[in-house]
Amino acid sequence: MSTTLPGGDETEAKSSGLSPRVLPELRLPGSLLLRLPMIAATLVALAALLMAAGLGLLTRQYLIEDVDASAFQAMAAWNKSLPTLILQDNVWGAYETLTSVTGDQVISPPHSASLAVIVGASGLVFASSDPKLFPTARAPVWTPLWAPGSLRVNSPLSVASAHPGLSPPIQSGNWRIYVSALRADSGTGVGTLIYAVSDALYRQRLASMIWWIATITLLAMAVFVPVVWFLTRRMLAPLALLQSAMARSDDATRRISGELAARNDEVGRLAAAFGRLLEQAERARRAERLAAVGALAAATAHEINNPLGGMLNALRTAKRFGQFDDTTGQAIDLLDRGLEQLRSIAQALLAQTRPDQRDLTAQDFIDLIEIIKPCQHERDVRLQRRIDLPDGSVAVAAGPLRQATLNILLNACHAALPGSTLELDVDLLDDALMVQVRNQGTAPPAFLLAAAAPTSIPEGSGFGLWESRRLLSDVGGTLALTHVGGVTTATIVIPLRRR
Amino acid sequence: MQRRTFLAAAVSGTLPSAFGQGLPQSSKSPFRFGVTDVFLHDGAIHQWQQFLQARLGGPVQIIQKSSYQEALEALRSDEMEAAWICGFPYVVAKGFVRLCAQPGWHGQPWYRSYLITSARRTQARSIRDLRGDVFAFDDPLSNSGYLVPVVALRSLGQTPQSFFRGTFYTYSLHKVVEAVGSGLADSGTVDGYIWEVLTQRQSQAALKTRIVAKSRRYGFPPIVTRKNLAIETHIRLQSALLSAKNDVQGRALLRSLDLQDFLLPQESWFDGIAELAEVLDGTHPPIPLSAIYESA
Repeated sequence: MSTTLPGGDETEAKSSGLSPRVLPELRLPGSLLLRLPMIAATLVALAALLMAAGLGLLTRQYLIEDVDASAFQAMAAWNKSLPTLILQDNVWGAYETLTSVTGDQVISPPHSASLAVIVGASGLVFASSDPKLFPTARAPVWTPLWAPGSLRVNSPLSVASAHPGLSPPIQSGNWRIYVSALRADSGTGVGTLIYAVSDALYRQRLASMIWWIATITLLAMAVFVPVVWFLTRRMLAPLALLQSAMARSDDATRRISGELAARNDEVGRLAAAFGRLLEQAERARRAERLAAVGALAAATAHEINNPLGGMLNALRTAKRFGQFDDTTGQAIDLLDRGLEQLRSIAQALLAQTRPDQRDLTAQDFIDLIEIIKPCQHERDVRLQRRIDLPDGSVAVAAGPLRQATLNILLNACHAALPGSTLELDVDLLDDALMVQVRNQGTAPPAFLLAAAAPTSIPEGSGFGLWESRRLLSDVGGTLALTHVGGVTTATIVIPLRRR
Repeated sequence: MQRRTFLAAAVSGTLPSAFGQGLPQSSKSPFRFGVTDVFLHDGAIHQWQQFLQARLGGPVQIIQKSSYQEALEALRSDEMEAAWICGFPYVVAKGFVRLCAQPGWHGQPWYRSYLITSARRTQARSIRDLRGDVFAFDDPLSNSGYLVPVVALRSLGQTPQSFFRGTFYTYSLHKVVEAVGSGLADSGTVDGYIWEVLTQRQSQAALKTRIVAKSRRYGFPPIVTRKNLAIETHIRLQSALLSAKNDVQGRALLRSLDLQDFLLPQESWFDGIAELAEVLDGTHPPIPLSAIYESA
């Protein structure tokens, strides 16, 4: 089953790079875009049918009440006129009086929808509206009106108040029967009037009215069901669009969710939340990539570190015991410094991947000072250092601190004003180590000054600081950045490890 | 001038002065003409009024009476000037009414009384076969609708009460047809003219009935005036009726009544009815049934 997006959402789908005609997800058998419109349309149809049924029952009740009211009205009129006609022995007059209401058997089809019978005081039929069923001057045979087992008498109380002297309606098969005693002015009984109304009298009208009710109901359903279907689909279309975009996972996904996030409804909020989730997932992916790069770098450093050690040993042995001319000696010195710098970098990379490898020593800071020298040279920045550490090691993971401090020193070096002085202070507190790096320069971005590390990787600059904060947080440390009076201070505090 | 010569002259239009003029201008009251339900058809009252007003030259009021008794009382008490009544009431009221004109059915002054019953009751051939029926009469003063069958019963030594299971009056001949057609009555007695006209007009009631027996012919219901009416007015009415077929309105009236003409009446045409009336009064011996009903 293919489903089209209704109305304006088709344009939305086009702009989103989706097919304007078909959303594959709508083919799901349990799709809300199918189920909800179907439920809404079904409810509309059920409501219409329920109303039609109620209206039909009410109409039937009203028609029966109309029949009763008409019958009682006719009976009341007959009760006034018939006794005189009976006393005058005016059979024709009585017949005309009866047939003025029921219709006669000459013009009407045989056995019309109502009939009236006057039974005289003798017990014989005085006159009836249907003389063939109830012949004049013969004992009445009630078989045509008698439906054994179906007699039902309405409550007498309901009639007695409104129509005194009349019997309540008696339902006998398809006949509704009314009985009244005919009395002369003197009060003497002169006969009994039986008036029977066939259901056909109101069933035809009922059928007609039900036909109209059904037609109007079907018409209403034909109009409202598609409208409800259309509106529900229209409301749900953005949801389907979002769901489709979520399934695509390409460039359009972010754009579609961004567009939908502008909506001021639940779909908008859902799209916004999805957009945030997308960003976090992207940052996590980048962090993983960086971690992989780090792992690769560490492995590379490990593989390089050992040959470097051997090369340095060989070089220094050569320097110590060998005889070289000046040019060769200078080259060997240059080679020594270069190899030493390479080893420092390799060891720094190794430290990042092995935070628990070893405790910190003052030499670690010496190494770092050595590492940033190229930057100092490039930026024309001097370094002033104060390292107050005891001899031996300090119970702090050397790797993370080295990397974090290196990142900060490099950042400070790059941010420092040319010709200015970098300051590196290392202090051992009671239960923590504090490292501070100061440089003169412009203030770093505001988000970098925040006390807490951002939960996501920053775009553009600031990655070094973010990485430092992450490394320090892994070993319980913190990094704070302040900028006061043109001086930016980075403060690392890392608790001492418990031995 | 002999009476017949006078009338002939009136019909031929040779009467001088007053007869050619309208009603006296001093007479502001309308000419009142009575009809009963017996002969009414749709539009007949209007046709009567249009015709009489045109021919009498003054206002005419058509008064409908529900029985012959009422019509006779209205004539006797000067409430009406003329009326179309049955032959039996005329015989009864000869003392204060006089014949004015005789409708001609098929051009003849005669008609018959029919005994009718349900069309499905094909075995009934005589009034004898109607024993135990509920029987519908027209009017106690109707010849065809009462007098003929009652006198016939006399010949059988019966009365309606002894012969029939029940009887009633409809005070209208076509209602007798309806009563039998509907089954309210098993059988009834009706003016042959009425039954034939209804049948010709495809009346549903008439089509549900059949003729059991036809009487011998009797004088057609006449138009009479009260005897104390000015002879000029009587003559003017008579002249108008006898020449009805000569003008458009007259022909329209005759067409609506399914009549062909109005004839100059003769007393002898009602001798048969007078004889029946005498039988009913007991002043004449019963007449054999075969002399009353001929056949169907």
